[in-house]
Amino acid sequence: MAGCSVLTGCRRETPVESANREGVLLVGNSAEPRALDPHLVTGVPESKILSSVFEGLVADHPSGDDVMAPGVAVRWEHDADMKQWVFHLRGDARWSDGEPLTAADFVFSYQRMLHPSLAAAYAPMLYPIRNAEAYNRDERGRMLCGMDPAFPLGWDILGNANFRGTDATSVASPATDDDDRTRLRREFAAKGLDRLDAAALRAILDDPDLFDWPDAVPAAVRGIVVGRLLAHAEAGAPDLFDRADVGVRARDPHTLEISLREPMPYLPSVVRHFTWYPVPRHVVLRHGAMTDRFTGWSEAGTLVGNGPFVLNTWRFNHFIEVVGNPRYWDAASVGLKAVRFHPIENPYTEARSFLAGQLHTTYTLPPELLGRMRERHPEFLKVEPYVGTAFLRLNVNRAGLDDPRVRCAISLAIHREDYCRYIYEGYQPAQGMTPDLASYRGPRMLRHDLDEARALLADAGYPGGAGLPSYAILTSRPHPVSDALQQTLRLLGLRVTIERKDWGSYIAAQQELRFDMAIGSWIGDYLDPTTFLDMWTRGNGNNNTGWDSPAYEALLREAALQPDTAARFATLVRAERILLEEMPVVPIAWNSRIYLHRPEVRGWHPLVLDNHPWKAVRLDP
Amino acid sequence: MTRVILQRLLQGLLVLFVLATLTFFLVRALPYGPFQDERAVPSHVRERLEQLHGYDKPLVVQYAMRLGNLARGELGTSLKVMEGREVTAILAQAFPVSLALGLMAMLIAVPVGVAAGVIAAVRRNRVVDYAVMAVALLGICLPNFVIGPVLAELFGRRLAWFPVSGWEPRDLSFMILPAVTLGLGSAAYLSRLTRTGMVEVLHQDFIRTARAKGQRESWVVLRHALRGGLIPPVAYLGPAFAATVSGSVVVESIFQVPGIGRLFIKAIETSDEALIMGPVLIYGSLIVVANFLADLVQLWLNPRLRSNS
Amino acid sequence: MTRPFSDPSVSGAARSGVADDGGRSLWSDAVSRLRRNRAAMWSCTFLTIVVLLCFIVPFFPIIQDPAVQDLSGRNASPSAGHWMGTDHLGRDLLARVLHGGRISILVGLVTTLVSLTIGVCIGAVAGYAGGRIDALLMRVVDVLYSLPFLIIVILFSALAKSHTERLTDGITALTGWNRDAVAPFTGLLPLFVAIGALSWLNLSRIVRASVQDLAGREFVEAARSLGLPHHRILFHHILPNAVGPIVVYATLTIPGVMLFEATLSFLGMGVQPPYSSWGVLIKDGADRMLSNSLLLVFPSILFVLTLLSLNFLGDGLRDALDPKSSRD
Repeated sequence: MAGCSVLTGCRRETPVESANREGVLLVGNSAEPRALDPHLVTGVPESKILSSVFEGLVADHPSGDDVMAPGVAVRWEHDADMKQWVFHLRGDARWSDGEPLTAADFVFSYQRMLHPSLAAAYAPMLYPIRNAEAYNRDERGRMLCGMDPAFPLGWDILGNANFRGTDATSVASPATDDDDRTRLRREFAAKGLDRLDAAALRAILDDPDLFDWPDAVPAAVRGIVVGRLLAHAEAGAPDLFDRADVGVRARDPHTLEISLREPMPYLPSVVRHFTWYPVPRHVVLRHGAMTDRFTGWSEAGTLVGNGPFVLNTWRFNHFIEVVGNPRYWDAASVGLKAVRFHPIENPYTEARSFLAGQLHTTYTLPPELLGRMRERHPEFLKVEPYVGTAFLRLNVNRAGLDDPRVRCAISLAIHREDYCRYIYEGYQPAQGMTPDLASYRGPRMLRHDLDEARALLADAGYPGGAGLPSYAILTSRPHPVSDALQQTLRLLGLRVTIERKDWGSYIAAQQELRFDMAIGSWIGDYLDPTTFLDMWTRGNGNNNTGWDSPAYEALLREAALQPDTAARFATLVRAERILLEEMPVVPIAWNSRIYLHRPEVRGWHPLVLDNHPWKAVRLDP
Repeated sequence: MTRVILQRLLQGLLVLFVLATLTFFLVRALPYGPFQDERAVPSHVRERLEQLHGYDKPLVVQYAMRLGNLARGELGTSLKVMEGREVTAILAQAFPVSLALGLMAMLIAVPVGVAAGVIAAVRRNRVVDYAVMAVALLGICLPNFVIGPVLAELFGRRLAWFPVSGWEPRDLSFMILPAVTLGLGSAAYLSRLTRTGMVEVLHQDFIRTARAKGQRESWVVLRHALRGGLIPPVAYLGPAFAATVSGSVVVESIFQVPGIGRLFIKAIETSDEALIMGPVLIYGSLIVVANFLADLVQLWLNPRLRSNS
Repeated sequence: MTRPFSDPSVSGAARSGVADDGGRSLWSDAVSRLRRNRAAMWSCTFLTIVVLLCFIVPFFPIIQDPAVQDLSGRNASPSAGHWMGTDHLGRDLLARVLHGGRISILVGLVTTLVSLTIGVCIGAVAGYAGGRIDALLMRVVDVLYSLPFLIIVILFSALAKSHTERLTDGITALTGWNRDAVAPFTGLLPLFVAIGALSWLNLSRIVRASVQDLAGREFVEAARSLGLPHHRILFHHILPNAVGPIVVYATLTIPGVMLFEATLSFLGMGVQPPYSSWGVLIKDGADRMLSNSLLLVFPSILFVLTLLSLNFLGDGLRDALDPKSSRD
């Protein structure tokens, strides 16, 4: 960085000033990316960088969240039932090393993402694809027998057999006087047929009593199932992608067919997510097998992408620089020479860096600086609605919290306007779980009424909070909302402490339901209310409340089958109504993105998904 | 002499062994596994990952494997902070940064501290002495996490003489504020020790003799007194370096310096075993080497010690 | 305190002092020397005030509840209602600083006590036993001394922190005490252990030097010839004479320990919310310098002054007990 000598006391040129000259955008990007392989990461900082070096079928539009801009695909169509989609790829699509980008790359990518051996944490993002879930979960029984149309027994009956096992961690420790057979039976039952190895399967073939089947499955069929599983295991468990008939197919090099398991009118919005990006087959395989994690194909110098930029420099914990990709199909309209991402985790440090002229845009702004920025630097301040909700997660298995009246009382006690004025500054008071997205307007059911809250509490048998155990609010970092909630709940007579755990323990405690209440938030992945509603179902890894409702899930399923957006949204509103009546989670605020941004950065508009396409950004000092 | 070197080498290896063992068991004793993630990691995914990285083997076996790898120079792979990346690759970028910062801090601390101590000793009991010693005491008691932000605010943001934070490899101005913050404590200690040492030496007979012979005061000080007076501060050089190394963890965090310290903190927060082990061993090795060098300098300065070791 | 038979050596370099078997006792000498050291006396006064302020005064209603938030009155300047103003959540800063001081000082004292115990035991045994035991113990001390302190302390505290929940559960189950009363102490326990585990090294060396020196004296010979058992000689006759240097270095250990705790808290690994120490307050203040610099200024001043006072007092004690230690 040029600059005159400190000794002469003249003012140095700030990094922003020299970057403006050079056409480089300096971005504060919170955390250092764990990796830049789209199949192995889950965080927002990573997604920002990925969206500069890769491009999906559909691209983001600089000013309209709900505008589906052409990406790799120039156009797409679907059939009447919204389950079969065809994407037409542009003929001149190329990777940054010059190799042509074809539909086969997409098929390879989705297969890799879903391959059980890769253990991609975000694989569920691709589950809308037909049979993707079965393939990813390695549901061998289902793939080898259930998907075989010629199989003597339908999957609706056969599927009730114990394929998936009980949770592996809860294998009961055998009593010492169990004989071998009982021990084996217990072990097999815990693992389930899908996870048994060849030796176990052979043992069952020889001794069918070692495994329990539902009565509806005849003995002959049992033998066939075990036989097929055994053959598969003995063959070394080959890849079942084709056998599973996963719903992606390359009709020809420039036509990609995607078949979904249920109608999804908003698929174009979903495929904008980085989990649906293509990865270069020829490069990935050059560095290792398809399912090898972290082979080094996605490092600086080896990463090949199809986006407006290429990865140029990666200095760990320091910055990542991407420079213009001349082979990008739309390279002519890319306004920046380069983008530099700086991982600054401490938001105060980031704010200071921005004010010292080291960044063009920050990742966030500490809420208490909001007032000051409003006064002194309103031209830098951005407060924009964001696709997220902050909430209090409740464990409905705990005494007292098992009563929806208590849960609703908690919600009624919270004065959301005050919370948004003092704690979640810049955020909007939540009016439901799902913020307003596209044309969706959730049921406006959240209110503040302390008297009603107290009445509900008394109604539930805990007048003034008497009889309720003391609760702990679990949080992963000190945040004023925990103190505020503590005080709010005290007004109801509840005794509440704050329990802080480090991130890993905080996540673990919720997943294992070892908490009373927990501060949480959810950022949606795509522009549809289901990204906020689908998680509150039984068995969903992001639910963690112990709550589920068959009526709720029925409505979600009903909505999935409705192609008409208005009707679908109406059904989803009904589902959300149930969620808010039962209140296993108490929404508090709808997120806003609050950050600092220099006015010379153009092509940057408020977007609820905050996915600003880097190709549209220009520097105009 | 060779005996001493060998002895030190062995002791150094012992230190590293203790460090490695301590770190290994401390990290493994942390309650949650290495595969907890922001979004729920499906159980079959977690199992597969654990299998891949050998977490399903008994603890003692893992310990032995780890030691074996370390002996071969393989520091392992990071599992959380920079997943899948070789720790050696990560540290290869971060180490030069921390080293540069540490050396810069010492380069500031040693001359400044020693010079201040000499001046204070020579102008003993006058205003200069009290002033220097007062500043030194302040330097010892002001933690670096107070000085750092204040310097950053004052010289970084308000006066804009130096960057507030960050790092550019070839740009010295990014190094100044963090190095000063890091070196201040050591400079303060060194100045006090130097003063003590110099005062003691200046009292001795041969100094009076030199003065009586009519030699100039500054010559007396530099030629005769310094060698003896430097003994206490040099004895502290090893610990000073250790303190600098430890302090760098905080300073790197304040000034966003992409060194080992920040990686270490990240690794602790996420319980990333390999990335904890690497920095710990590097720090340990640095301190062993620094102590060794400091001992050598001490031997050179103080011949009396040679016969004793 | 037992009266010494002769003048114990007290300087850090363990030079033998001049035996004063004459009339005046050592202690009255020391006390009068200390009294003449003005810096040390002022420090004594200051420390007493601080301890009173942090431990006693908060019980008086004049000091507000540090946990009460007043979100409409955030970052207020000092006023009649809030002598130091309020912090970013509207909490009274003075109360926060006083309560924080309580934790900081408590950690400092208890950890030093832990250090003291370990250091004295090991140093005394090494100095008295001599030979192989001494060599072994000092080898251990040397190895531990070579470890990067802060790094190990960070490791320890991360580990200890994660087990406090279980510890709290255990203690609550065992004693039936209220969890809210137990939690603050178990929350701090990891700090005591983590910092105390390594800060005794210097102390042990000092004690060893003193004990070695004393063990060669006639009164020890006399005691041995009387057939007294070793531990009695060590703990009843030798150590009381070494109290001087022990007190000096204990006093000088406290600021180091407090600095450790503050550093840990700054890194987010020390005292955890809802408890705060001066270190936590300083971190909060450093972060929020843009919006309210007083958040950094007040806790820092108090913290630094406390450290200074402890240093002055320690230096004063050292001078008082050994006038020959090199200071002019």
